[in-house]
Amino acid sequence: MRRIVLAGLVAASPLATADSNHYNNMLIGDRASGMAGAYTSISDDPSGLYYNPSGIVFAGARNFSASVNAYHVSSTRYKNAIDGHEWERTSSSLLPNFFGVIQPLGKGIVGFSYAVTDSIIEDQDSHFTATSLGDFYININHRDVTNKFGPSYAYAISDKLSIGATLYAHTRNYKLIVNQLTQDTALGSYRLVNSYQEASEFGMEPVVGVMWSPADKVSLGLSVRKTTITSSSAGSQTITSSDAAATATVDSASDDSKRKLPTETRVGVAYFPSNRLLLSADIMHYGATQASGDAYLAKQAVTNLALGMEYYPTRSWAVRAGLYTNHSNTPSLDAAKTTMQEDHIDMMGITLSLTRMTRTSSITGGIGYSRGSGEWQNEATMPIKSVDADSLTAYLSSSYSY
Amino acid sequence: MRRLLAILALTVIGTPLSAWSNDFRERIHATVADTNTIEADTIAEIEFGREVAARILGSNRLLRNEEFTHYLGLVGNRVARNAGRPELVWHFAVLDTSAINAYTAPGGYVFVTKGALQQMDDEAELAAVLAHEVAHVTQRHIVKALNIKGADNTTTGSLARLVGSVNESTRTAFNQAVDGAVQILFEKGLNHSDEFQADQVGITLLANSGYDPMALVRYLSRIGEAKSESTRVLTMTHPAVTQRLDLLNTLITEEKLADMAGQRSRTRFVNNLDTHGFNSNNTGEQP
Repeated sequence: MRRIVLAGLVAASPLATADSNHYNNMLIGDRASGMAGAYTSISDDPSGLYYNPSGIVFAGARNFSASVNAYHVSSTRYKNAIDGHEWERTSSSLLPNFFGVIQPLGKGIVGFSYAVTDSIIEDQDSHFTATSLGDFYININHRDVTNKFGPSYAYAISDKLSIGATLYAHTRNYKLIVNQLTQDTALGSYRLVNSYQEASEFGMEPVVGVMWSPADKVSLGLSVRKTTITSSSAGSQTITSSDAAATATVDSASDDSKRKLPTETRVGVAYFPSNRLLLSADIMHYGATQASGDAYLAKQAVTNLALGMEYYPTRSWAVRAGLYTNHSNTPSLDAAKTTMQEDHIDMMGITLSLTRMTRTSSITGGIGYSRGSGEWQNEATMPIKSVDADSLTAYLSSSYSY
Repeated sequence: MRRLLAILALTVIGTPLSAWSNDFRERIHATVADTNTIEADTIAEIEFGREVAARILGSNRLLRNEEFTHYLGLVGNRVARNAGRPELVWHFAVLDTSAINAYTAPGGYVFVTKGALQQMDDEAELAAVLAHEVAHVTQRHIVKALNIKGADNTTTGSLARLVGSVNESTRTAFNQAVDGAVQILFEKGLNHSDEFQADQVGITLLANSGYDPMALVRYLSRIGEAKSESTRVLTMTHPAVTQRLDLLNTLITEEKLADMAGQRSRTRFVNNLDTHGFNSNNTGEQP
């Protein structure tokens, strides 16, 4: 029985679905999330430990902690996936996605932070009836979570210039279980495919940053980071059975290749026209990476942009908003290509948050929404089709100085 | 080329006389503390100051002379009465050391050294030094530098702690802040702008208390010429005396303070020093 191929599930390699096609899936930090992550030239609170650690020397309080709890849901809709049917994949997760604390140490400021930069938790089942191959059933259990945690230190060279560094430990755990059944009860035929994939990796991600105020009310920030995977393992097992064969076939693969992650350079500018208004902009550039083993394909360079705004209508309330891009690191699909191509979806997002301040604490509620469209392909040489996606993050966060 | 690099470095790093600082980062909610200090803040300030005072006394011997300490308190409270902090109970004491200096802890604890007393010429100069220290307390310089605040028991604060699962390590932070205060007093000093402000507020307190407003200028001029081990900590923790005198003289000229008649009480001062065995080093002018 002919098989049905759906995007992202059977690709050039059984393990290629372990890769990640975007770099800006989850915004990090209390204040930064409301400002679309345009934070490289601000970074003067625990969120700065992630974006640009040099900024924490300018924090308004000597001791500071902050945490964010987020509910993140995303959806991808593949048009004309199976005989004209649209196929939708959704993911939802509830997690504490950031914690950071700073305090003085010697002549500088020391900090520690934890960030979840990506989280996919997908549990769904779908049923397509009356396709050209009969009834099609698919259920998916998918987990893909990336964590970073580590210390930071920053030092003020002068009241206008500071440097800082963070050393993150990077971990990623990926698991995908897919069961697909195609059966035509009229013909008495069926095909069952059970696929299990897992990957885990550990690495180090140093971040170095500098913050400079070249003029009154203006701040410039620069940070550079590079994740190096030091250990990795990936494996898959696919079991296929059908009415056409007396026994099931088992295909296994493993790969200890280390994923190549790009160097990320963030440049930002912030303008503080008054003690009520703050405007910021960041450009984030991710370099191209090479393929590694069978599991990880080459990725192209990506440049993202973020614009943020913060305004205090009263002393005790702050409104933050922002716009950002989250472009795909896969190339645009080419109809002439004869090998399997990954989805390509460029996203744009908007953020909004509201904060209630007291003298020593703040509590924030915010949302971030992104949407995009692109292309996908069932299999190599098959027609290129359209896909759209969106994601929503709702978060509740707090900060506390003591 | 080297000159160009030097200019670039100075531009990037900034000089002490550059026109702006990173104060522009402060958002409006942070200014609430300046104008809206609550009772909890004062309680926290007094508790903190008591700990700092205990540290000062732990490393310096207290001069145990009840009569002279009483006299010191009379002078200090005459100045502090005009300081606008009626909620504080002021404490004044002498440290038995030859170093020339004075210290203050938040909450109203003021110490002057025997070495400083021996450099003074009259009661107005004593009042001037005490007024400078009182000004540090009224302007909350150390409190602001170390962000000492009362507990935030508002609904928002409680909710913030709950959402953030904050394990309130206030005792650890408190002890660290006390260490920070002692470091400021004995090693680093406050910002120069805070010291200049204390001079200016102090001279106003002096005038309002009926003392000769020129007293601080006379005292600083005298100790500015004394270059010895006894002024080492003072030099480390304060701006240059010449700078302080320049700013004071500008204020005195602008406010015409030199024309004000003020009390000096040299005889009473010298009698108290001699009676209690301080042996003033300064023969000074006649009142």
